[in-house]
Amino acid sequence: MATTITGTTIDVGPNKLVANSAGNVGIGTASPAKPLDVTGDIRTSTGILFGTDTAAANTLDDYEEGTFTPTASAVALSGVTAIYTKIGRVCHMQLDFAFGSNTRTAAMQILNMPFSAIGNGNCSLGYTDSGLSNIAWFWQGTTIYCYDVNNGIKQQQNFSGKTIRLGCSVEVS
Amino acid sequence: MALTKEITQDRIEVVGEFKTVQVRTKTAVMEDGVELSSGFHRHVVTAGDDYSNESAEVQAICVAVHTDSVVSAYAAHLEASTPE
Repeated sequence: MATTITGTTIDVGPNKLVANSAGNVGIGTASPAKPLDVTGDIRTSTGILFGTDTAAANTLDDYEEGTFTPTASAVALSGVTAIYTKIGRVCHMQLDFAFGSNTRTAAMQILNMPFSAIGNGNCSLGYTDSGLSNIAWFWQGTTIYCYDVNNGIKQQQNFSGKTIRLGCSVEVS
Repeated sequence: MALTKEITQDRIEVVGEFKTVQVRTKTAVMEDGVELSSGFHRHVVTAGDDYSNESAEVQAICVAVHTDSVVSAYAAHLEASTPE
C-alpha cells in the first residue's frame, strides 16, 4: 500500500533531494521552483526529448565542444583559434588564422577539420584582409577549399600574411 | 589533494565510405581521482595520411581500414570532387 504524505516537504540530505508540497522536486536545492529543479549537471544515458515529442531523431543525445588544429598545404598558419560545437549531426566551427609568408601557386586548402563533412558546407567569411577579393570557402570532407565566387575555380591568390576568420555549419559523420 | 592531468583518446571513430578516422582527445584535470574539468581536442586521419605519429591504437585502426583500395578510392574521389 502506497504511503501518502501531504502538506509538507520531504528533505533528504539536507537539500540533497527535496520534494515540496507544490509537487516540485529539487536536487541540490532547498526550494525547487519547477517540477524538476537541479543545481548541478544532469547526466542522461540516452538523451532528452522536449514537449510531447517521441521521435528518436529529435532526441538531444549528442553535444560536444572542443578545439582542433588546422594546417594549410605548404603554408604555416599563425594566430590560430579553432573551435567547434557539435549538436546532433551538425557541427559548427569557427576558425581564425593568419597565413604565413608563402609563394604557393596551387589552390589554397585548410586541412584537418575536426570531423569529416557529409557533402559540402559553405563557409561564412567573418573578415579578411584587403587584397583578397571574390573568394569563398567550403568545407568538404576534412578539408576547406578556397574558390573564386565568380567561376568556382580554385583560388591561387597570394595569401601571404593574410588574416581570415571562417565560420561553417555542416552535417558530419 | 593532488592535482593531475590525464590525457586520453576517449573516442576513436571510423566514418564514411573512405574510412576517415576521427580521434577525440580528452584532457582532464583530476583532484585525487575526481575529475574537476575537462576539454576535447579533435583531429582526423584520412586515407593516405601518414599515421606513424599516431597512438598505437589509432595506428592499428588505420592499418586495418586504410587499405590500398581505400587509399586509391579516396585519392580518386578528391581528384574528381575538387573544383579545378
